[in-house]
Amino acid sequence: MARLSFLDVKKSFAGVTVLDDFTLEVGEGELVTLLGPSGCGKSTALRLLAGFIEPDGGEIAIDGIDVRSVPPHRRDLGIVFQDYALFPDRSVFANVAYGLAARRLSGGETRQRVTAILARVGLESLADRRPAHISGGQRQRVALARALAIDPRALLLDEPLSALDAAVRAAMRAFLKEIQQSFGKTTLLVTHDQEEALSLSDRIAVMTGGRIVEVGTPRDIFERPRTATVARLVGSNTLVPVEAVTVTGEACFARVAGGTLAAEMTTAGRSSLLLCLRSDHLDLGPPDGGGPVGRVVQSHYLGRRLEAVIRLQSGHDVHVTAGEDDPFLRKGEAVALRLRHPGRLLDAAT
Amino acid sequence: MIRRLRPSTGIAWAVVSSILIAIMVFAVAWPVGRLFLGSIIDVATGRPSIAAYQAFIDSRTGLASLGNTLLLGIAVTAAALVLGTMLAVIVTRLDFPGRRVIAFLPIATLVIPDVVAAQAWIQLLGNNGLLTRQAGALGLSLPGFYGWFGMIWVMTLQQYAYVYLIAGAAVQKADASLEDAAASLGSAPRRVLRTVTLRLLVPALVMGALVVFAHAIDNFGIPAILGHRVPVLSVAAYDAFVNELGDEPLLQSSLASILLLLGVLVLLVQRQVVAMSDVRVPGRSAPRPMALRPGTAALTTIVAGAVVAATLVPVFVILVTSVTATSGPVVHYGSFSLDNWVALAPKIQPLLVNSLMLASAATAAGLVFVVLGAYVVVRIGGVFGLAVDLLTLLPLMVSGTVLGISLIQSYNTGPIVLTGTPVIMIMAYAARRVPLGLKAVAATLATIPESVEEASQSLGVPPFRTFAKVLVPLMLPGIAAAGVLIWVTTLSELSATIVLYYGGMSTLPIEIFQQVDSGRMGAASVLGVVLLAVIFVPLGIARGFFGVDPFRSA
Repeated sequence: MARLSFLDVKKSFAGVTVLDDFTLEVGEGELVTLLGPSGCGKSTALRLLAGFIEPDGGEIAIDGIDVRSVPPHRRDLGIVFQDYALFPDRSVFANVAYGLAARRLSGGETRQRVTAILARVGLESLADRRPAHISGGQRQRVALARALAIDPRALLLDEPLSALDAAVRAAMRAFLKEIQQSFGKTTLLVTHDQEEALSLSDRIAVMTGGRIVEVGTPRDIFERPRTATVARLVGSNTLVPVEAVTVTGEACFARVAGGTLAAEMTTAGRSSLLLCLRSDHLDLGPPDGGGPVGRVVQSHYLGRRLEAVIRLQSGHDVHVTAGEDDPFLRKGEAVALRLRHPGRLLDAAT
Repeated sequence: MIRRLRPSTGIAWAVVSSILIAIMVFAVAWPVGRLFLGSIIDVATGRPSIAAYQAFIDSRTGLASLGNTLLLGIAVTAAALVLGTMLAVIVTRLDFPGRRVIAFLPIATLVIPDVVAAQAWIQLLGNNGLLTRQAGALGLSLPGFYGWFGMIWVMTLQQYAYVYLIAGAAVQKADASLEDAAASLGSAPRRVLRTVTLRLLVPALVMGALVVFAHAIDNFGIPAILGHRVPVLSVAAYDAFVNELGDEPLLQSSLASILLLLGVLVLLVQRQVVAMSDVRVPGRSAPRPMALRPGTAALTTIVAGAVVAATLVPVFVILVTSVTATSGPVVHYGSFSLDNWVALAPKIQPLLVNSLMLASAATAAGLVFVVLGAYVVVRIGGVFGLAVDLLTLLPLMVSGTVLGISLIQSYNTGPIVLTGTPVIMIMAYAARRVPLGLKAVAATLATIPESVEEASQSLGVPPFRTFAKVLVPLMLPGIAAAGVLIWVTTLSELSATIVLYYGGMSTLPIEIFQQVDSGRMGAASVLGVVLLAVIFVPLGIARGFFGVDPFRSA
């Protein structure tokens, strides 16, 4: 187990900055996720740690020791690649044994370790198969087993589940969590998938434009974003500008789009605030309840729920999740919004 | 793709890249550069001088050979374009009996040595040729074979396959849905062929034309045997080399330099065409061959079959001649005899040993270079990648004769003397085939994701060992293709060999060339059969065992 740290790391390619002021610490045994849209620099961070590219500035350390001059083959990190990068001409067994050969283990010891780890990931019956002859989920397990076989100081997972279809992905997510916990490896996960990040991580670092915007536990990130950027990136939120805030004793109300909605108390400055409307916290009612009024402009049937877009009189479009039987979700219907839980007030500049 | 050298690249690759660059400079860039400088600088004074070009203009054949070379190039290119495109479209778009066999056979012409083809066609269409006499009996008189007719005829048949392959690949790459789209928009099949199919072919045809043109102006064997009173640059340069060795090499350097400049010009145009012609269609399904009425289908088989048969005729002619009684140029068809074989038996072995030794060494050296070079170009990039990429383009501009002359000039005297050693021949062979081989290997390498290498490194294997352990096995199909290409083309190499070979180091093509030149068709045929055997047997093995189709990547 090891501690991973990035300190003020910078990286640019051909004059385009892809990572700036990047500082992050991953504690021993912790699983930290870099979450962000494609191109936000999250994979670059992982590749910097792996040593495939060199930072332009800043420090990258493992257990407090600067590794910038250590080539990738001496960093002792287990990496699971997005495309798995299995050796196509080698069997499952040989793929897992590959890293052990470089460590000069005896034949017997290698066999023992590979067999044990294949059993652990449930692949012992496929040991002789080539990667082309196993399923996507199985390939993913081989990649994981190969990375773990060398008993690395930490695991780096680069979009490990993105190549799998939805059904396999859910199962693999649970499996990945179980393996990571039982091996207790410090892990850096890179993903653009919120659900993956929320369900697997101890902490999430939300990234955009080459910077970390916020770091926090999944619950904090999802339910209590501190910045407007994170509120936009994570969850299904609509941010609407606040015209005024009124505090009545313990309660706080925000005036948005000509109506009033419950808001959380905030310490943020009073200028240019946004109210975060979580789509699953919004209710629709007749347009005389005091909430902002709008019209249903779209509604999509998604099985267990309906998703609608309400265009407020101010012109803002708000996403709402509602039960399938919601009587107000007819296209063109005039409705008022109501928040079941007070919405967060966020500084528009964040 | 060019990018900065990665730290994970390691010092090993920096060293390897430097060695590769040094080899290319030593084997090609330096000698060829010196040759060219020699044509514009007065050796005695070290000042710029046009004396060499003055000698070129003043010489009896200089300007004529330049004009003839260009004319020959244009004529052969035009003929090859018509023949190659026609056959490519017929074979890919029409369905007729024997389609698959006819589709494959033209590729064989690419490995039939020029000397063998030239000899066989002399036996058929020469002054005393089989077909010439048949025509005479019918009261027809064919044009004299020596000169323009013979050169264009043999070169076209030897080289139309380049157009055929490039155009065929382009037709197959085109998406069938494009034609379907045109049809659904109301175009009749004939209009579809004209407005969609042939238009998509244009870039490929330009490419094919340039390849043929480059080969035609560089070719030595065919004009040397058939040219007679039509001088061309490659033969004139060789003659000047033979006559002036030791003397003032003015004419020789201007002739070679002009040939070199032509090569540079063609390559520049070629690169421009490649850059502009990126109309690659994301093809999913190859177009289907059109069904024909039985009569039309049979006619198509006959037409396409005749073209393909003409390209393979040399093989049959020399097979038959080798076991027929001959006296000099006169072949007594019908009288079986093993005399030719018996007479040549003692000669075959040393020639075979030389040819095989040189080809093996050149293939081994070429492969090592090409495998490492492909990695440097595709993966290392940066200054090293660019340098190797550009240096390996050089041999494409330099004809065999010019390369041979430049190597002799540079390594005949001075600190490094290589003339009269096999090293200089092997170096020339390997260098000439590096561009083709590199392309084949680089194509395979480009399909291997970089993450595979990174995975190996992250598991503790250093960069260079990762290359050897992981990449080389994955690149094997490309390496096998490159190996076959180098082997096959080196065995039939004549133009550089004729300049570089020395007593005791003659090769099969050289000996065939000399036998044909002295009119001994029986002896030439025996050696031709031996040469074809050592070319085709490995080719067959490569196809059979590895499924390698070396000319796919060419």
